[in-house]
Amino acid sequence: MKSRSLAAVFFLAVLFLTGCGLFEPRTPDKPGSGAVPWISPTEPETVFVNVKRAIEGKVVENYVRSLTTDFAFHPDPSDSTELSATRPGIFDDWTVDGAERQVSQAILDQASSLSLTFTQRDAPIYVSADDAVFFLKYELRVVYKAGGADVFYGLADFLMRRETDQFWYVYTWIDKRDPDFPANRTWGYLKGTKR
Amino acid sequence: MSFAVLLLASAALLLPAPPVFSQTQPDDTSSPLAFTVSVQDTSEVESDSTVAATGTSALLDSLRALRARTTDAWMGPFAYSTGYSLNRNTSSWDQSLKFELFAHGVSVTTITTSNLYADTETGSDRRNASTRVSIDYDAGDHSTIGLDLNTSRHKDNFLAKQYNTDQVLAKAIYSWHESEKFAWSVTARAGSVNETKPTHEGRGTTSNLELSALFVPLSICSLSVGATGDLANKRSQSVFTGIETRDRDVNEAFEASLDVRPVDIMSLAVNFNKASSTLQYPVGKLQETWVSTADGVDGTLHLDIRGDSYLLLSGRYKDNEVSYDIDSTKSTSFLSKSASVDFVPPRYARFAVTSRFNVEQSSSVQGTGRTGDTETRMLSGSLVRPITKLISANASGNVSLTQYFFYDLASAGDDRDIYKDAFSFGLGLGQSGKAYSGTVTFKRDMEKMIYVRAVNSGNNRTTELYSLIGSFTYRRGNILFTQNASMTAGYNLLHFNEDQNTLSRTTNIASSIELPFRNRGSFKLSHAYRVQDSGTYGTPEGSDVTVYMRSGGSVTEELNLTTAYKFTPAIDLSIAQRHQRSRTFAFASERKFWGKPRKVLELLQDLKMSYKVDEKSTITVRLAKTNSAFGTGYWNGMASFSRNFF
Repeated sequence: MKSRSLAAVFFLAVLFLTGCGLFEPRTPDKPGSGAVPWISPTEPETVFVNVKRAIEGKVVENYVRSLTTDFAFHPDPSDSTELSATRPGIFDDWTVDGAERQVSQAILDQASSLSLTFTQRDAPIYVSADDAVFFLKYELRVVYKAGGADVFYGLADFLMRRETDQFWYVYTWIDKRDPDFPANRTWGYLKGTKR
Repeated sequence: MSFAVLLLASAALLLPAPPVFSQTQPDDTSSPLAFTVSVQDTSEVESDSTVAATGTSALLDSLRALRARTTDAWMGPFAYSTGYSLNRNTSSWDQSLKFELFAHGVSVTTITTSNLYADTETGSDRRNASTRVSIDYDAGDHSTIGLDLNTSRHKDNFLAKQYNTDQVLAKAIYSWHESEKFAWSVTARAGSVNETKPTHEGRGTTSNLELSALFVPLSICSLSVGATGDLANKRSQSVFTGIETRDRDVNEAFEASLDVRPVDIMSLAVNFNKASSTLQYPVGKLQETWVSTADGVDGTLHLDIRGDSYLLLSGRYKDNEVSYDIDSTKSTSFLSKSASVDFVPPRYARFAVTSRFNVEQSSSVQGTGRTGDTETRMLSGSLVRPITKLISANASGNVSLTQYFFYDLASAGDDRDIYKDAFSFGLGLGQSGKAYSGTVTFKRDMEKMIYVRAVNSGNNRTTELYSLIGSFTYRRGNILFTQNASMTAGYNLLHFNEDQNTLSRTTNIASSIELPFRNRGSFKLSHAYRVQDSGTYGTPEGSDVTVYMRSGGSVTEELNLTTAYKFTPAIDLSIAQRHQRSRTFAFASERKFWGKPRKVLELLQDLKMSYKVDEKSTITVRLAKTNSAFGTGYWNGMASFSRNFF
């Protein structure tokens, strides 16, 4: 009887802690512009729609939201060689809440507008029902606030999986140079220059 | 921090530090291979082998790797290993060769590695090779002198250039370790360096000094200190413009650790580290200079309370800065201060309650042209409450709660707060060794993302995810049956635009049965059925009521059959056939429209072989083929061979 009473007190305490909220966010200003739409990524293809909207809408949270907590980024080996020559270890310790968020925020901050296009270069491979690899090409156009513009081309292998919430996320990005655009840099190279 | 002794620098930023001669004993016939080919995950991109390993932790390791004295000559096996991996259109071939010998006080160690990497899709072709030779002579009871030769070649066909690094270093090591309470070691190296990089070429002198010491004044405390300094003076030339510069690269690092255990129930550890690095090279018509500094202090206090209960207090301070003299917008600064409390209260045997609370607060400032602070506060805790005795001897349960909060006090337009909490309640049925077992879990995850400023506050949202997950396992002899079911509902609610609120629901049922076959094989049949739909909340025309309107979804059914057989203890073969059928549907004008069915039929073969030829040789092979119904397929495999010749 006593143990059941204690159990009841325990559950009530948990519910109380859940409800009261030990932290409170700040009060936001009313929006001056529209929201960037978000589609629940119930299919892996939807993830790239969200990434495109997040980059073009310059909302870094919606972009990072498409990545897993153990997200890994692998630059093109040639990009790594080139940048590491003057910045040793530039691509080391690359985490989603660290380097990925920081460089993405820096890119969005410095751009007045961005345009991102994904195209499929090969059929996706489903390693299992919850694990897939997508082979894409990308074109990222950046117009800078300071003036000028640049275009980045590359190939990307996106390793994706369905998490316990039944939504798809990217857990590995393998970046490669696009042989069709040898004179253009990759998105990965751009990331390395912003770290 | 500056040092009394002359600090010398190494320009060997592209190579790891030369190896210290190992303590391999003459009669140690176990494999001395320090290099093994890792090809387990062929989807990983090969890491750049020219990037150096840095850090002062190696200083402390040197105290633990002091060579045992011996006067007998010995020779290690001539060890060779090779491995080839293939993943779709990328291939990689590695080789390594290692040899060691000791005679008349002179020891020689050589390590040679090579890697060939190719990607037929991008046309990449990269080749790396490196050789390290270390020659040491015992000059006395505490001293060693020697010579290190390091060469590396890196060729990249895309960059259309070969990158080389050549080093010749003379070294002297003095170590004193007669007492258990005090030991120290000093290593000095000096020599020449010649390097070719993508942006510039250089040659000059390089020198390095390392100091490490371990002091144990009392049995309850120990102090370890390490310091290293590298200096390189080079004359460099830009490969693009031909401009010449005199470069000075300096690396300094200092680390100290204190461990105190005054009583059995309490321990204190404090670590202090400081490092700075200056790198110069010619680019364009200028000499560029990168300066980076990193300071850090972290401390931990651990206090045992009773039984499994303990209190853990920790704090961390980290201050990193990178400055670039040509373009100040590339300079960054990062300052982080964090403290955490980890408390596991006493477990009361009768009620079997275990709880953990963790509180962490950190603040960081990050540059790259932005101003302001990014402040993180986090509270996480879990309350676990087994309820075995309240239900039955075969039932248990637990409850957990976690909360997390993140402040970003950044520049206008980017201020954002993130709040998360997660609650779960679970029940377990059955016990270990029983024929059946099961679990039921209810979870609720909530996340609030708040942009404070008007430019982005339109994206403010709350995401709530509710999940009910159940699993059941039944075992009868060697037959195993499992079933998993889950129902999830995910709400995405925008704070300022309710017409974009969405709801996504998924129901998933998966079953599998495993049957053994003649002690060497097994069959596994699994079936999964998933129904998913999603929709938005909106106000229909002519109505004031906000209702949920489905927009579409999908139905997926999948069947998998996997057959595995172990031919010999060294050879395994498995074949898997996967059949999936899925259809999407959409709603328009309150009518449901089905899309074209999509079928996937894949046959995957996986052959594994691991064969130890004899005590000195091992062969490992793995080959897998995926055939996709989409008409594409790819090979994935690896093969490795290693042998000690004598």
